[in-house]
Amino acid sequence: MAELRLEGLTKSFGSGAVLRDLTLSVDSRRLVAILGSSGSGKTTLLRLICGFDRADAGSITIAGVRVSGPGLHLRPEQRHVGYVAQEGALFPHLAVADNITFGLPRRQRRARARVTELLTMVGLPPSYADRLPHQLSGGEQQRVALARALAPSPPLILLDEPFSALDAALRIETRQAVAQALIASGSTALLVTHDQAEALSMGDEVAVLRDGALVQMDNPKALYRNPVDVALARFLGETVLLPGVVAREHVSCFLGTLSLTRPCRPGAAEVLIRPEQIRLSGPDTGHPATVESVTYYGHDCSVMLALEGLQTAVTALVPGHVSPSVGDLVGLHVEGDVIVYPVSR
Amino acid sequence: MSWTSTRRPPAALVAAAAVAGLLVLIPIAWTAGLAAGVGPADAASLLFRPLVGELLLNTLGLIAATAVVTTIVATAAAWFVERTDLPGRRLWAVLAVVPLAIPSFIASFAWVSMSPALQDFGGALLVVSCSYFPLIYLPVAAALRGMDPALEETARGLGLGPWRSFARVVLPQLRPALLGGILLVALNTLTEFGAFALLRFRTFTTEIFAIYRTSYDSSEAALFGMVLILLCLLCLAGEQWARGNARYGRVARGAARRTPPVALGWFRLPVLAGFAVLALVTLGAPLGMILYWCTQHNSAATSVAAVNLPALASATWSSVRLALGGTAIAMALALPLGFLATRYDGRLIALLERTAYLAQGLPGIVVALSMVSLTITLLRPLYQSAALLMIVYAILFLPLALVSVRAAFGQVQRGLEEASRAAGLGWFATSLRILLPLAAPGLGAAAAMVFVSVVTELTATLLMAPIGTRTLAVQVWANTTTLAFAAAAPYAALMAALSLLSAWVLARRFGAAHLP
Repeated sequence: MAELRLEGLTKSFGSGAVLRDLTLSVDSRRLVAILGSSGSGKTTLLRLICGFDRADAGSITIAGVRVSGPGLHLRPEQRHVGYVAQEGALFPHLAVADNITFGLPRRQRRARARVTELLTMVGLPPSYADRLPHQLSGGEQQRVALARALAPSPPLILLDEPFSALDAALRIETRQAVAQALIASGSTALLVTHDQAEALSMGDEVAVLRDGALVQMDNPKALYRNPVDVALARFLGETVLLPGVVAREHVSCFLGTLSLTRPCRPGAAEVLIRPEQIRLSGPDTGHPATVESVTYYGHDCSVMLALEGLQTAVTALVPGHVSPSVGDLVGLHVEGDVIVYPVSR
Repeated sequence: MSWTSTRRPPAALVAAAAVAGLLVLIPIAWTAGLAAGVGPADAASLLFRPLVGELLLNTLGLIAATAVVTTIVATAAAWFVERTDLPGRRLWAVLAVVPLAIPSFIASFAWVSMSPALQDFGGALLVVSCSYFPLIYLPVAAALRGMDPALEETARGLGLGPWRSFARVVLPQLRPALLGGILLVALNTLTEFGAFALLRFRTFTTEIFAIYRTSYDSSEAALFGMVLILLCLLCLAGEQWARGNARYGRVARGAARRTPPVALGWFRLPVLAGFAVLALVTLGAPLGMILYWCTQHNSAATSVAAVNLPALASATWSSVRLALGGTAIAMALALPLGFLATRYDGRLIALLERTAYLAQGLPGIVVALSMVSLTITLLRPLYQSAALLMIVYAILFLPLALVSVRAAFGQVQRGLEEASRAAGLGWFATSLRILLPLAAPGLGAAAAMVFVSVVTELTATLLMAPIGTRTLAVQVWANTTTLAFAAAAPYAALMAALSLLSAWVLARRFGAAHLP
């Protein structure tokens, strides 16, 4: 059953449309990541669902209750949505336990109901209950903010870029803790992010927003393997683009005849290869190429290759321990299926 | 910033700063010495009598009533300006602060001249509330502006309606700002003299003045002065403490988003009417009364006193001359201290700075009387000299000068001075060529603010002006106490105009950023 259903949601500020006719549904106990660059309308979407802003058209249904539609706009406090703001927004004058129980009835607040259970769920020791927000690190604040949102057991949790203010190491740790807490509590959640790695790693499904419209919604693997257009493919990760010609289940291009991820009509097409699909060997096999530059990251490295007869350079992503040197002659192989986009004439 | 703590501050500057600290301590020490001369038995009989109880009750009652009125008015005004779609919010924001620029004894002149019924407690409550509600409005508006809107949104998301989320989330966070503001109002009420004297409302300050005028008994006045100083320092300490807690610390970093303002709908009409009434009471009535009396012939006033252009010009010149001197001394004292406080760390500097801020808790009447008594006893040539009055001005407005000087110096990036030092210049050359030019606008503003405050000062001027020197403030006072309202009006108008004009210039140049 769909816990959240959006139909034809539209919103403009001034003359600019921020959301255009957005339709989307989230099933119970699923985590859907809304991925979009800044200005794609993803934060507006969250604010509409929370009830902080009012939609121009379309409807929102949460747990079977219509909360927004033509002539209908339930106030935020009537929607019972758990909301985790960008930087946690913990109430600075309240201790952790009082923050967590904030949305509960007075008697449960007095009894500090569920505080220990919720702290444990988000991976914090129960001793944190009496601390004040400014005594916590950014990641810990986000965990408390999630615990606070989970406390009234809302049908839906909304997370607004909850990790963007954290530094890299803390981000991964906090992400895992949040994902585990969401699973443990059996929550349905919508996570807004501009970070494709975050969306792909956390979401059961990823919905991509561009200019206020839904471009594609799919599970992470399918999305990454089969993006609907070149722009989306580029947004999701690095690409190598080559011209090619499709015939039956194959495409011929400068790097040989390659098999396809999905059928495509015959004729001229753009071939999209991911850098991690390109493997390097000694110069005796594969397409001969010269290493132009190497950007070393440790765990892997990005290698720019020049191929004779090809104008554009080809990027390969190879494990760090086999990093070649600039000027090396190597052989180049393509592994796996490739994506093609027909070129319209 | 670690380089500051390890370096020794220039000795000449420390010596100059020490002068500032000592100057503030002199009136306190002298008053304490005089009060100590009373003897315990006499002191007890002087302090534990119905009169003191009445004064205490008057003062504390007025403070409590003012606190309630100003808190409600200022919080509501701040919330409507900062959080709603009220039309003309910029204008209302300005009008809510302008009353600070009208000296409260001028406001009380205006009200008294409107109706003699406006005396005693009711009149005092009206004048003090009108004059001081900006002291609460400003910190509360700033707190509302700095509050992360996500907090309220989160509370709404957790099922709280707008009223309950205001009560449980917004109000608790306004508490430090409110407390600090209320203590400032209390401090100003404790030290206010002119407004209460004109309203015939008895407080410690008016009583001290009365004792001094009737008996010249400096030890009894000093005893009352010490009680007043202690009450003031209590408020000051409380205010500092509240300010220390003023920010629960925005827990999260990053820029605050602006929330969409609350739509008032039809409710905007009563709110607009409320703001109009507020502006009318705090500004319209006092300014209107002054203008009214300006247009009246002298004989229309309750009693007659001559006013003419030469007298007006001479009073203006006296005020300006004394104020220029006082400002110069205050700035000369504040500059070294402000420089040290922003550029060097150290216990001595912190101590000197704290001492200088004590002056904020010193009632003008107590400082003036103690300096009069001190010069009569020890420094006869300085007694009733213009120089002494200027020094007293400098003591009274040193905290104001220091705050502004600090802000001006603080805005100059330290990196620039470091670059200059690295290029081989010493601290003096660096200050001269880098710091002072960059801080000049801020220092100018500081001097202007001190100047305005001195020009509108009444108490010390009244007690200490050299014989024959009649400043604007003294003229307003003298004519109002003899009920010659029409004669007082031109002087009052001139002072109000001077004050408002400078406030406007300052706000245009430096304060625009604070408006929503």
